[in-house]
Amino acid sequence: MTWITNRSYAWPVLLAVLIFGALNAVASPSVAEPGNWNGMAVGMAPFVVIAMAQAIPVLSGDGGIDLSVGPLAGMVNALVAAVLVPSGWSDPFTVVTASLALGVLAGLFNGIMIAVVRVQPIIATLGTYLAFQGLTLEMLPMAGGQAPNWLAVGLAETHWGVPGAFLLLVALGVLWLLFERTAYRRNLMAVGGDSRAAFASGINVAGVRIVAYVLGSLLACVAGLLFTAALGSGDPSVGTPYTLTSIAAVALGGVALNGGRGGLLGAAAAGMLLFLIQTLFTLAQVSIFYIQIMYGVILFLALTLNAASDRIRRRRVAERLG
Amino acid sequence: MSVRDNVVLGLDGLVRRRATPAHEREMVRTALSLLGMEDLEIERLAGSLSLAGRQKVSIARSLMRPWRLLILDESTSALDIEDRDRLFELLRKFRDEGRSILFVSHRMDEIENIADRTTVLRSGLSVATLDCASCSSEMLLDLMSARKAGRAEPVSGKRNSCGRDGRPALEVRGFSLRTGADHLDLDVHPGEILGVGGLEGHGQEAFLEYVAGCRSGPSGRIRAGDAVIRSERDAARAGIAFLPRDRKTEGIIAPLSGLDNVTISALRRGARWGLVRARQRAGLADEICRQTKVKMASPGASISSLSGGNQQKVLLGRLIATRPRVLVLNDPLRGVDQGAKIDLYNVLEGLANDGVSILLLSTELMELCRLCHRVVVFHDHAVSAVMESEGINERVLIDAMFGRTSPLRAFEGAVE
Repeated sequence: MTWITNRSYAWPVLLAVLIFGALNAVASPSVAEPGNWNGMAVGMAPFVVIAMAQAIPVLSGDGGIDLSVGPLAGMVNALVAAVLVPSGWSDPFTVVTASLALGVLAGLFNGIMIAVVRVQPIIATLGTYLAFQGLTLEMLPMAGGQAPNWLAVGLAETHWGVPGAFLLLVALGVLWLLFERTAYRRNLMAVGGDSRAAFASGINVAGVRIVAYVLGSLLACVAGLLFTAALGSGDPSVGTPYTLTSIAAVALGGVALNGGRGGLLGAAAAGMLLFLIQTLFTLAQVSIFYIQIMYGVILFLALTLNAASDRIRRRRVAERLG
Repeated sequence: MSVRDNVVLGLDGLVRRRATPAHEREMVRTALSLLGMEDLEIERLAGSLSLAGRQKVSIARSLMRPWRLLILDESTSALDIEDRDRLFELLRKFRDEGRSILFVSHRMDEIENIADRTTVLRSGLSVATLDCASCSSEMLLDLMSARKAGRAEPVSGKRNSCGRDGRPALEVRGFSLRTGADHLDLDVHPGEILGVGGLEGHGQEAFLEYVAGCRSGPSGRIRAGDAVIRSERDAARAGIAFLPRDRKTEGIIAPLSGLDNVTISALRRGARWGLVRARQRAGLADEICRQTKVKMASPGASISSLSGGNQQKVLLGRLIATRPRVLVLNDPLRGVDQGAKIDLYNVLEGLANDGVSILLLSTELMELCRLCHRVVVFHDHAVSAVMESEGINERVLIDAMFGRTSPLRAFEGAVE
């Protein structure tokens, strides 16, 4: 259980996930039926992955943020549905390789702009946000195109007795556990916590930052593939809103927006939470506008609680040191 | 992050760990036990350690890689005697192995204890490098205080006789920066210049910030006239004006002109119905600039185009424009050229003659000696001496800064 006791920052959001999961089950008995879980997992997966994609740049500190994750995911959707499939390159290897390559390029560009050229993250990634949107519209001016068959089927069907989307979430969990054991994670937390101290300890600060944006972009591309599978087609407008979702998830997930504190578990759980809130209100047939308002209210509440607990923690430390 | 993470920081590659977790823990324990921390739980959060513990963790970090030169910059400031002696023992062992150590410290006893050779730096210049076998800490203190150097002293040295009888402009009662320190009771009178001295980071800056209302929470009370100072708003209402230390980040407002920078705190003067009147404002700026002898090409020129000395005059002018009763100045003469310094000395003396009380923090001993009526010296977040500056010299001040005050109680007469 150390994986959870060591990550107390994520307790509130994990608790909220349980509560909202239960509320969903109460609101609609069909949610409680295991047969429907895979469908929910398919819908949930992009939220979870995009939240993790945002968490890594935010953890890297010094105003780290990647606004371009949403448009990048959207660009992957357009690339697959409007370029690769029509050209006949729809086999899994080509689609995945091309998408991830796009992620590496986008992440390298953002990372170098931020860590080497030293453009402020919010501005640098706003630039790529706009550029990716434009490129998406260039490839796919309006909704259309088609997702490769294996992608949609792969998530929806059962493999070896396990639903596809579940397999994917398990795979993500395994990747997360591996990530938590790398030296990179420690370097990332050090850089995000205090980049000067990290530099003085001999950490390659610029390298850590660049890799943070590359990892974030890779995950954003995975999220793009996931909602392409869920959608079954291309749509130039679906990706962009994920940016705001991802930032909300990072904040809800207990990740400090000035870096160095928190982790991927909290962000992923918060992605789940946002999805559960959305389904709950959809089940209750609340208008989409009210859902937006609820998001806002929940975000404010969470950040206020975070700030309060932070202050208490700091006071305790100060008292102990006298 | 945990103690272990903190100690091994920087040893890994970007992604791969250089050591297996078991080996890593082993290395961390070895490094920590060198510093007498073999019992420390290495998965504990480093932030939960005491200051001394954190300092030892950061020393352990520097020992983790193969090194030939170790630079310790005030690394013993938080350690107690026992830890320090253990560290010194370790350093001697390293020295005997043929490795070099550069040890920066402001503690004389440490220098005597550990160093083979000592270099004294003053005002950014290397003053002397001595073999420790042939020098005493007395010599080092002399070198640091430059008593033998005989520099020019640009101050008149004439002090006004500030009235000690009337009502004080500022009363400090029962003030202490940390628990266990003696309480300070102090009155600052109209027209008095009170020097505030101490080595970097010994609490004197915090004292100024409390007086200026920028901090709250220590024991003690600060009053100016009838007002109790609890916030910067109280301080401003009571006529306390504060000049922060860092001119670039806390002082000048770089995008604005010299004129704007002078008048920004006193826009209400000469304004009518909430609107600033350009002519009155220009007149005010002109008057202040004449008083502080600012040399500006034109009032509209950007403040960044001025020299450091002129910027400092503008900032002092900004305070004067608010017609303060008490000026709280954090090292106003730092990084100012000689000519501007003399101008500023004259401005300060003029203000004092007009009845303004001035708290002057300075890192220049000569200024404390020559410019001030009294000097408060801080050591280790407590007041180590309050001295009448009549008759004190730089050596006495240095001793107080290093906490050696015992023979100097005679000078202390002003503690009410």
